Amino acid sequence: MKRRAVLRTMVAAGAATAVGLGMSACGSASQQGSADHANLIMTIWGSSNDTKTYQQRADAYTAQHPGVKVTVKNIPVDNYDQQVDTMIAGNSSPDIIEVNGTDGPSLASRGVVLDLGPKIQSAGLKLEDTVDAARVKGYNLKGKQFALPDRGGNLVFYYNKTMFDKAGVALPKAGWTWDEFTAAAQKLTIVQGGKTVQYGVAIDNWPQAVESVARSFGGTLLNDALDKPAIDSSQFRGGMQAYYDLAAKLKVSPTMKDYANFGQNVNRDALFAQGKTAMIWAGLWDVPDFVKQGLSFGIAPPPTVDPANPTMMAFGTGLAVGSRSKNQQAAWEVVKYMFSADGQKPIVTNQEDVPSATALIPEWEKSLPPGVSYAEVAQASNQVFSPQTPPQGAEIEKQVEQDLYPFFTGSASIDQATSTAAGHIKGILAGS
Amino acid sequence: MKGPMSGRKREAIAFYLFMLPWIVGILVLYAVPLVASLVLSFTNWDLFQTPQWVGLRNYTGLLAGEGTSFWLALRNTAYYAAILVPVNLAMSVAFALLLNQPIILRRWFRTAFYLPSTIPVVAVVMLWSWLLAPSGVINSILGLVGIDGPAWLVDPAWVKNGLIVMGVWQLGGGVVLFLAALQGIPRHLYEATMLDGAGAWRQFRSITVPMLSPIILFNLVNGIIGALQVFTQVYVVTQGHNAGALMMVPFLYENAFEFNKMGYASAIAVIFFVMIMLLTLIVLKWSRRWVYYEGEVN
Repeated sequence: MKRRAVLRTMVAAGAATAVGLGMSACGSASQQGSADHANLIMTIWGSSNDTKTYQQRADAYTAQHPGVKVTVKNIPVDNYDQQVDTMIAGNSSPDIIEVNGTDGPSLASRGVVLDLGPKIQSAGLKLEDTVDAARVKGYNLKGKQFALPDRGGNLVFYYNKTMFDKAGVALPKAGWTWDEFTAAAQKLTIVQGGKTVQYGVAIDNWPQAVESVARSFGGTLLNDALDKPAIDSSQFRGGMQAYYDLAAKLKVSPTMKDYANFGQNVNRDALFAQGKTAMIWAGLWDVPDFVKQGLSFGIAPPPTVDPANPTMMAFGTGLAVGSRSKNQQAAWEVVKYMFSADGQKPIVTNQEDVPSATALIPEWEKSLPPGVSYAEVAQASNQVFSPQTPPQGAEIEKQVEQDLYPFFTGSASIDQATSTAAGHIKGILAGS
Repeated sequence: MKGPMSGRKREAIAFYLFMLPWIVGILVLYAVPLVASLVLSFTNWDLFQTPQWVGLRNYTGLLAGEGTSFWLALRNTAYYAAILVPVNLAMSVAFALLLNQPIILRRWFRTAFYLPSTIPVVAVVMLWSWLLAPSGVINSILGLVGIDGPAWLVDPAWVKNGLIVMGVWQLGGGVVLFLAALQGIPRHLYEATMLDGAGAWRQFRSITVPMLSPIILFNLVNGIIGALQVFTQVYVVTQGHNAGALMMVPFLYENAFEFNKMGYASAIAVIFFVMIMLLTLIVLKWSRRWVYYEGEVN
C-alpha cells in the first residue's frame, strides 16, 4: 500500500512538473459564475474574417445580455490543438472552444469539454430542427453531444466551365456516374508534345477526398462500431484503386511526382486556380479564391458509383463548452444563441462560410458569385455523410495518410498499403 | 563575536553565487523534467486526467505492440545518422584542407562554404525541394550522364537520401572548426617530417589527423547527437506523411503533442535518451585509442 502511495505521489509530482503549470488544481472545476455576468474567452482558428464574424455574433449576444462579454481569441491553425490543450492544462480553459469532427472527440474523451446533452434537454432544444441530423451526429461521441454544429458545408466537386465548353463535354450534374466522370476527364486532358498541358482532374492523397471516394465505393476506414479497421475491405481497396488509376493508368491527373515538380505547396486547389485542371474535389472555402482568379466555374456533387452510397464528407465546425470553464452556464447560453439561425446570420452576411442552419442555406446560396449555383449539390443532399470518429481520430487519420502514401507514390500496392494501415489502426484502437 | 570572513570562505560563497543561475537552470530545465519524463513513461497520461500507472505497458507497446512504428523510426534515424555523420566528417576535413591551401579567392570560398549553415532550415528545404524535384536540377544533371534520377523527396525509398544531401550541404560549421584546428598545427612538425622524407599522405596520416583528432571527436559526438535528433527538415519536407522519413524525434513529437499520449511519448524519450547515452559513451571510450591531446604529452 505504502509503495503504491509513493508511486502515486511520484506520478502526480511528475505530471505537475512536466506541464509546469498548476495541474494540481485541475480536478473537475466547479461551475462558477452566473449566466448573466461573465467575461468569456472563445478560441477559434482561421482568418481575420473568421475573427470578425465570431466577434460580431458574440457582440450580438452581448447586446441582449450586457453582463456577458466574449473575447474571441484566434489561434494559428497549425498550433490550435496544442495551444488549447496548454490553456486547459494551465487551468485557464477557454469557455467556448471551436472544434472539428476529427479533434473534438479527443477533447471529449479526455473530459475537458462538457457533454451538452443535459443542457440541450433542459432547454428543450431539438438540434435537428435547426441543422441536418447527420451533422449533429458528427459531434457525438458514444452518445454524448460534445459540441453544437456551427459552420457547415461539405466536400463538393468543382469544374471549369470554360474547359468543359471548349471540349464539348456536358457539365457535371447530380447523379452523374463514375464512368461519365472518367470519360469526361479523358476528353478534358490535353497533351502537347508529350507534355500534359491540361489535366482532366487533379487528385492527391487529401484525406477528406480519399475518404469521400472510398465511401462512394462503399468503403470506410473503420467498422460501424468504430472498434475495428475496415480499410482492408474490397470496397475500400476498389475505390482507392479506381481513384489512383486516374493518375497512374488513365493519366488524366498529375501523380505525386508531378506535384513535386510543380513546386512546394502546389496542390490540386492551386492547379484549378491556375487553370491547369478541369475538375477537383475540394471544399466550398475555395469559392472566393477561384472568383478572384477570374475563373468561370461551377460546383456539383462528386460522381456516384452506387446511388445508395454517400459521396460528400460533411465539413464545418462545432462549438463546445469547456468543462473546466468557470462560466459554463454563460458559455452554454452563448453557444445556444450562436447555434440559432439568428446567431449564425453573420456567417452568411460576412461571406465567411456555409452556415449549418438549414434555414439560412437559401440566403447563403444567394451570396454565391454570379454563375455559380448550389442547386445540383442541394439536390444530392442525401449524399452528405458525417463520419463518426473515435477519440483516436487524429492519430488514425495521420497513420492512414502515412500508410497510403507509398500506394499514392506507386511504391506499394493497395493491398499492401491497406493491410499495413489495418494493422496500425488495430494497434491504435487497442491503445498501444 | 564573529571574526571577519576568511578569504577561502568568501571565495566559496562567490563560487556558489556565480554558479547559482547554472545550477538552478540545470535542475529546473533539465534534471526535473528528465525525472518527470522517466516517471511519466510508466503512466498513461493524456495531459488532463490524473496519470494512471501502467507499469511497463508503454515500453512493451513501443517495442512489441501491434503495428508499432518505433522500429521503423529507429531504422530510419539510424540510416540517416550512419550515412550523414561520416560523410559530413570526411567532407568537412577535405574541404578544410582545400581551404587551408594558398588558393586564389580563398576568403571568398571560406565564406561561401560557411554560408549554407547560416540559412534557416525552412529556406534550405524550399531550395532543395526545387533542386531535388523529380525533374529538378540534380536529376537533370544526372540525366546528362545517363542516370535516371529518383523522386528524391517523394519516393519513400529515397526521401532519407534526399534529407542526407540537404544535411551534407550544411557542413560549413564543421569546416570552420577544422580550418581553425589546421591553422593551429605547428609548421615545424611538417618541416621535421619533411626532412625525414615523409610524403603528403604520410604527413596527413601522422600529423594532420592526430592533431585534428580532438576536433574530429567533437564533431563526431555532436554530429551523432544532432543527426539522431533531426526534426525540422523532416517535418517540413514530409509534414509527417511519408513514413520513409519517420524519424525518432518527430515520432516522439506527434505522439506527445498531436495524439496527447504523454506517457507513451515519455517512454520513447527514455529509450532514445538511453540509446544516445550509450552510443556517446562507446564513442568516447573508443576515442581513447585514436584521439591525441597535446596537453597530455609531457
